[in-house]
Amino acid sequence: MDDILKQSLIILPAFNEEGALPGLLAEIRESAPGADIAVLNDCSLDHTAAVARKHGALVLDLPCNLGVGGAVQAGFQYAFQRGYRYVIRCDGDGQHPPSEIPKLVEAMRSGDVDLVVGSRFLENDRESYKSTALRSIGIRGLAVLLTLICRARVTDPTSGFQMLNRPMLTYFARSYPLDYPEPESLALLRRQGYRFREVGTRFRARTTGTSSIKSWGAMYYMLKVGLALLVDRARTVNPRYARHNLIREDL
Amino acid sequence: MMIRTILLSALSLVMLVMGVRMTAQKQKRFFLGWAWIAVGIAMVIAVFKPELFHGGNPASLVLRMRLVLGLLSFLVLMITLEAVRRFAMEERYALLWVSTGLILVVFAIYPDAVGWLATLTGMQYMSAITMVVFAFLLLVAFHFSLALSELRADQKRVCQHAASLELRVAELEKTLKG
Repeated sequence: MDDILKQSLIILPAFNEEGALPGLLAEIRESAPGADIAVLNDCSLDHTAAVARKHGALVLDLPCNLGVGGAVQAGFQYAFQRGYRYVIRCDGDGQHPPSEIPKLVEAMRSGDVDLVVGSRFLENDRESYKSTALRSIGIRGLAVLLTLICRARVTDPTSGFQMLNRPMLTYFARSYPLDYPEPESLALLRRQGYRFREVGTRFRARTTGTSSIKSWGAMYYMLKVGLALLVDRARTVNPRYARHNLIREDL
Repeated sequence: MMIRTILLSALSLVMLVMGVRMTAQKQKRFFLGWAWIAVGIAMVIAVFKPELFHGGNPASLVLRMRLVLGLLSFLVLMITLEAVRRFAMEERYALLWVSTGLILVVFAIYPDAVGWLATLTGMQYMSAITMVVFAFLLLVAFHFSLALSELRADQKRVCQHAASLELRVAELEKTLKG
């Protein structure tokens, strides 16, 4: 596992997470030794950037708030420029336990995949994740829709606990949705010929911060993602960033 | 009269062929193709059913308004989706336009739906003027949506680049000192 981790950048999108970061960074060092860690500070109002620097992480300090999609893409671009082979994304609020990172790494190593997604619904582990009825109905509906669109099983379409390889990284550094990116990015990557696989992981209740999807925003979330998925069907595949071309070039 | 009919039919035929070709290519200008087909069909109707656009009897007046409204709202929908497809408009702004288009389509198909609004405001008298102003505002607001999306995309790129550069400069400074 060490060889893969040495070539990996772990990115942590964070917005007002100064409370959660010290513990999280320590956990990551323990579970994923050798990997570089970059905190993507999405223009926090607290001392997220200073705390992250103090605990030895690289900090991408965005000068204006871009939302999760924009912040994560900034991380992809940095990783691409610095030549990392893999990127592991893990939310800064501690929702994604670093002790589960080895599972992602193993799936990436063994399978012929470009993106590994940690799913909280794959194994019967629903108790560990509490959610409102409306939200779980929304997530289920989205999972069914995406399974149809991607022609591959999707159980947790909103999971941001992911690991990607360099070709995938190259594509996402170029084009990635701006807000609520996870479901749409799955549909996009399938169209470009990439492969993803879900592995069952435990999730934790968030320790600090609030979900980026507020209850009234769930409606907007569904409409926005629905529209995006619909229009994506009519978009052209960009051959420059299709899987077989990037694999061959090995940038 | 005859020449006008022939010219208009030829033009609408061109539009229909163009629309079908655009839609059949599917990956390219899919939604715009449907918009052209709709315009073509509207012109065919105008050529072969000119009585729809003559006379002042109330029944044909309502039908005419429904046809025009239906066409306009369909065009709004298709052009919006095309803009989203080309990454010229973000979904967040497109949602407003899509819902506007859908509401207008509903009004065109079920004219009764607009009845309570008319009785509430007594707007029949003003409706012609309102229509013109409304169409103009639609165009302006549409333009704003496009411009805003472009600005946001540019701002995002600049922002990411600045952050990345800042980190790399900090690393350079460290190696220079060490």
